[in-house]
Amino acid sequence: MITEVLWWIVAAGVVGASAGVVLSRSVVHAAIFLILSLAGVGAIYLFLTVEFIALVQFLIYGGAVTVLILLALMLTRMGASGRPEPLTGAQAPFGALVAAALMATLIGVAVATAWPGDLGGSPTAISIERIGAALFQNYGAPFIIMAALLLVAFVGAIVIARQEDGD
Amino acid sequence: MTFGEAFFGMSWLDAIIRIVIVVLLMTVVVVYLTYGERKVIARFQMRLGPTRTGPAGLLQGVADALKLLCKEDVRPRNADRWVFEFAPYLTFIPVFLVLAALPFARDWGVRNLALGMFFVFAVLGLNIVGVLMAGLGSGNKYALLGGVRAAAQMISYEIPLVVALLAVAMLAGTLDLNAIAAMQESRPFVLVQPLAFVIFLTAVLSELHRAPFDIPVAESEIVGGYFVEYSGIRWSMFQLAEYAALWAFSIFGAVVFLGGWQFPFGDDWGWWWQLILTLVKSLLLILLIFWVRATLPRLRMDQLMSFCWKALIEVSFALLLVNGLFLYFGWSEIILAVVNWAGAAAFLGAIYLRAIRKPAVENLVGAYKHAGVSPP
Amino acid sequence: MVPLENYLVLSAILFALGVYGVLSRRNAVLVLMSVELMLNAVSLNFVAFAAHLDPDRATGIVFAVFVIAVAAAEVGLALAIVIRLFRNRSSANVDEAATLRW
Repeated sequence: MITEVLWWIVAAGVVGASAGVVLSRSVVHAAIFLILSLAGVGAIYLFLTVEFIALVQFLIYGGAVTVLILLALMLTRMGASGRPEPLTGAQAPFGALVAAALMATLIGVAVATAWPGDLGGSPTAISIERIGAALFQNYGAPFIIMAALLLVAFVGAIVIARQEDGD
Repeated sequence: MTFGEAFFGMSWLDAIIRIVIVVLLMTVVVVYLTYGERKVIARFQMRLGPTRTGPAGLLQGVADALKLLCKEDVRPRNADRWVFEFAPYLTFIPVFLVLAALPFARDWGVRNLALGMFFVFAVLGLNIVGVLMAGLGSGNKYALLGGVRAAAQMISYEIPLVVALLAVAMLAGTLDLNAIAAMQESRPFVLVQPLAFVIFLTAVLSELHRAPFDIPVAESEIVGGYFVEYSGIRWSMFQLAEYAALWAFSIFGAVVFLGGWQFPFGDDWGWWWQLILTLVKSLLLILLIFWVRATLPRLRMDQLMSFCWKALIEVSFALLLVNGLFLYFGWSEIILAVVNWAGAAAFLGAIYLRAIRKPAVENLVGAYKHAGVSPP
Repeated sequence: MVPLENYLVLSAILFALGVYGVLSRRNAVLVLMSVELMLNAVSLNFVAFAAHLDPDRATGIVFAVFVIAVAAAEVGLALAIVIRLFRNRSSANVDEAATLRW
């Protein structure tokens, strides 16, 4: 019982924070709402009893990704002389229309489909040993490719952002 | 205990009592850490430190806390109100969560998690968020600079920290902090993995913004960094978080590297001995950190970053690789320990040689020529 | 207990909010944040399916790990591009970076 109440509270928090990300009028506030939203999704993973993914979420999203975003905000913020720019374009109503249609479709599909093999209410705990076995045995090759991808992205980011003498 | 059980399947009353005990202990420790730091640093500098408030100045921490509570709480007009006001509390929450996962004696902590070590560094990563919010919300250039410096430094040093701890976790074969402590009955891991310990200590100094890595809060450069605009109770929240993090990291290091409650005689002498062992070991680590602060000068920003990316990360990955080889081939732990000691000696020796080398003083121009030092 | 549909609906709402953000925002960093929301919704979906439908193989969990790794790589690269853009045009507005349209 208490689990359901907590779930609804956390889910409402996640939705509210995500709405804050796309609606807020300050970039800094949007970033902070994003942190809240990502942490909330991490808490939702706890309800699914996969604490490994929840901790990965906190570590990668809560720590690294949002910090990168905040750092970029600090580096790209207009000073006192800069002109204030509108954060939302004139196309926003159409975007809202598309998003609403998409949401209706997705929710309709999610609710109407009878998912095969649904175990019912309580999810089964997936131990970290099983995740490790799946990651390194069944999906070993994609894992290594992923490592290479990260390395390439890392080098690429340095090359793109590096300050050259002419800049 | 898995994470879900810890959150949903527990008796709440038991958890609340444990949390209250840990928080009370933390408050006392933090108050006396501020006093202890002033005393220790003063002794290193041949001063006396606080002596007037109470016997030997023992009530100095209480007096400071009272003074901070009575001070006016100032908020700059161009500060971002909510960001500014919530930032200090957000820096404190992760530290508190970490304290909830640490074992103080056999099977005694607020909660003993199966993924305890992973939990500790996942949650500590969130620490940066509060610092960045303080930097962005203060509406002050110095605070912003301090926030940028802190963010760059903390995400960089988190990598060697995590990798060095993973090397130990590989040997232990578990992430459960209690099991890791129990495993060190005959020898603490610092004897087997001294190199990992060195990397861990360096990265912790940086994560805590302690000297010589204290450039985000450097008074002489950016007048206090990200908390320059804070005063009164909010400023003291930052201080509380900082010292609580110092203590939490020390207990964490004591559990992982120094044997925690287990080494020596942990099982034989009962829980009070285990508690004393944990606290004494953590205080030894804290003393070491104070000692480093009293000894080493502050690094420059570029030196700090290049030390992390060009030295620490490579060494920590090499350590991970060596540990993997030893585990794969099943070589004996003594050989591993010898290799590790050699690695630690070589690493520290290289740093020392780099530090004492004479800078080139030929072909200098301008003020550098006059002073006879090489430009940075 | 919380049924699977709840997670799916939550994920659909998050995804739609992300789509709205991507379509309507003009600041590049904000667009990136909305993309993060969408990726998060997807990995929430994967994990929910893995825990509810197929806990024995943990495929969805592995997918979620990959999604998070790709998201990290993507954020690093995209922010590098944003910083570059800002340095060239002193604005992080995506509408102004339209030279290729001519």
